[in-house]
Amino acid sequence: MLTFQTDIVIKGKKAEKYQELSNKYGFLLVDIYMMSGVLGFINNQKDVADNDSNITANIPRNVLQSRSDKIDFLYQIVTLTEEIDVDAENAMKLAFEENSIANPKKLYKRELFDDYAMGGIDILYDMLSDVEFDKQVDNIKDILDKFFEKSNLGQKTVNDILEEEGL
Amino acid sequence: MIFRKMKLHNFRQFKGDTEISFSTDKSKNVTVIIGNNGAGKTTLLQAFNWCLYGQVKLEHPEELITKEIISKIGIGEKERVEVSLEFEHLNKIYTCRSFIDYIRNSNGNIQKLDEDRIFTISDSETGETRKTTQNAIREIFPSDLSTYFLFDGERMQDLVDNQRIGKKDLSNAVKNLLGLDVLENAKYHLSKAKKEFETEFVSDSSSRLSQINEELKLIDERIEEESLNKEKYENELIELEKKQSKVNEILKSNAGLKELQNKRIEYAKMMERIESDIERKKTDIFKTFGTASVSYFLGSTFDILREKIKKSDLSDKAIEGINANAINHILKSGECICGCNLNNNPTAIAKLEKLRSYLPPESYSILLKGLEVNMNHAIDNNSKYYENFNRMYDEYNNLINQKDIYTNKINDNEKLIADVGDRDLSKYNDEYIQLRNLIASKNQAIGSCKNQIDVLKQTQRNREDERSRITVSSNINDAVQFKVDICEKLINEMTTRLNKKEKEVKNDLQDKTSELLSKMLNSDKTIFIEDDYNFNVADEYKTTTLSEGEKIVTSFAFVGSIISIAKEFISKEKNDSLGISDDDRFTLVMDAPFAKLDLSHRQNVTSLIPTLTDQIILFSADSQWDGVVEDALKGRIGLMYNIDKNGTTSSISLVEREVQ
Repeated sequence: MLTFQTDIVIKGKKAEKYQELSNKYGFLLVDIYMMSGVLGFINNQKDVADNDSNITANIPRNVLQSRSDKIDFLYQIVTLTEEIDVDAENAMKLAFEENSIANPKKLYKRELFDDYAMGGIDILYDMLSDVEFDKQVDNIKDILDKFFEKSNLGQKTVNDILEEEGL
Repeated sequence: MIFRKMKLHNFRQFKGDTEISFSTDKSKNVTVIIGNNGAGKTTLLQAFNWCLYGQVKLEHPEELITKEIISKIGIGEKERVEVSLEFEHLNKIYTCRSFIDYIRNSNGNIQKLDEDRIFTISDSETGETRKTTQNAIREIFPSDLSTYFLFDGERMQDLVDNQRIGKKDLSNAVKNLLGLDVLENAKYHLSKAKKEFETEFVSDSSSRLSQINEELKLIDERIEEESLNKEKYENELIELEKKQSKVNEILKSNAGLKELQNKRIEYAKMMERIESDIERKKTDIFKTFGTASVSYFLGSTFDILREKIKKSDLSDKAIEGINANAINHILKSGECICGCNLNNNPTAIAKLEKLRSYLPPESYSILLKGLEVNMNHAIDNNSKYYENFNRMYDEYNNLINQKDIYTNKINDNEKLIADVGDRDLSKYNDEYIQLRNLIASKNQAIGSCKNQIDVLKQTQRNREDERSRITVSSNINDAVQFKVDICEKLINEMTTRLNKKEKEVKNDLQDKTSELLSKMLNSDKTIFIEDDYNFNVADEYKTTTLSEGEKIVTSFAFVGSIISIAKEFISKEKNDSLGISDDDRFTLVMDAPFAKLDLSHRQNVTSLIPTLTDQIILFSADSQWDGVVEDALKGRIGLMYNIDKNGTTSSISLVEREVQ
């Protein structure tokens, strides 16, 4: 069980980007955190917080906790993919390590994802900011199409899935 | 009498000096003055009235000189408004000059300094010029009759459009032409005299008689009062109906604009809905992107991870069919299933413990299988998400297309509105409703007056009967009765003769109008003017309903026949009274509503205009002066003018233009 003891607080320029994207698109900060971590990971871009601005972006602990299953899934994928080549068994330990209120240690998998989230926010920001108001939807469509081409997502259609599930 | 020239100085919007000559040519007898609505055609038409009779039928008739000119008058300085008309009558040239001088006094107020109307007459043969009396113009061109030579557009329209106003106009025409108003006045005074005589009757019961006489006097006063009220309400009704007709005209002519304005509202509502739908769809798209795109982005790494797990053999280390409980049992028993003693064999125990870590519940494979389930689930969701997103994207684009369509519709509609001129029509709607209510209440008041008069007349008859009953026969009463009888006989004789004469003129008007109408419409038409001056038009079979175009043709026919009868009447009057058989010429000044004529009638009607009388002064709106009208008058136009509005100074000038 993944337990969040505190809020995630992002500071500086990165926080400004969080706030801007949240205002522009109505995203929740927790969604931006998750998208940034994944984008930082797949682009291999880590970063650390800066103190260039007084702005902060605060992701409340209870919001994080309500999404803990999904967040943990991201942590597991990222940690395993990164560490399994080095020491598979250790990678498993790190990926599936849990904490609790009684044992509130900071987990490696979270630190790793946070670093990627710090790097990934720049990528997400570049993808979505500086887009004219009328072009925002088209831009998102372009982004999704590019990922669709890159991945094998297109190989399965909803009909295929329904057939597989016998529906 | 025909007009030769008009000069204006500071008359209303004609600032400074303006001069206009009228064609006196017998064959090219038409003078055309063209100007847009509001340019000053009506003002020019009214300049004739003001110059000759001091009357102006315009809004703010007191403002003969513009406020702009008034404002420029310095203390002690004067400014004049003047109109002079030169006209020809029986080989003599007359000039009528009306003017008012204004001065700004030492208090800074404007006051009239001088006002006069001067007539001069000059003999065309001797060239001698002298002042003449103001009565001269009344003899040449009585103001009562002048109304049949000066027709503005509104009156043309009213002749057939507004039965009440038209009826009054026609009835006045007949009565004025016959001089019946004078005779009706005589009838009125005879009736009064008769009533006075009747109070001289004596009776045995003299107190009752004097009471009756007193009552009859009061009844008479009440009847007169109610009749005056009724007449007042009827006149007010005419004005209200005129206003209603104008407002209705505006609403009718703006029906297109109203429709465009309704579309504007409809499109704006539609646009508001589309824009709100677009915003909602955008929000849905962003929300979906924010929550679902994480695993969508991550999905591309799943195969890489699967490959890495496969290579690591993490999932292969467990022994199929063996679980952690089995290993626990072996460790507890101290003997392996191969028979090896474990108690003194730490290496074997460590090996078994290691093996147990690969097995459920500590199994890596279980964790990895769970991960695999989550990955597959994410992939399934990603596919659904992509499809769902594309559907939302299509819906979004449909909305954007709809927005484009409505943007174009709105732009096109606004262009059409700009072309016809945007304005607030709601005030006209409100005014129309208000006028309708006022007309209804005025009709009610007239009805009430009529009832009241009927009741009073009935009471009057009763009292008169009673008076007859109680009046005793005596020398005094016989003498009174004799006077009363004479009055009655005179009144009856006068009524009979007048009715007969009125009928003759009405029939004449009927015949002449029918003849002209038939010519103008190119088919046999007969106008029937009833006793109350309602009229019907019939073709050879039956009474017909007139189209809008035919109504205007009918008004032209009425104008033509009225002027023809007026000419005959004036000539006959002069012949009778002065003993001269003159060859005087007559003029007709009219603001002709050509635009309201059907295209099929325009040629016929217009070509007949020059034949209506000796001189025609024709006003026309620029937009109505089209090819058909101009062609129909070809060869008959002597002079032609444009009324030009100077945009910067808002002054008006008349510019002569070439006659084709």
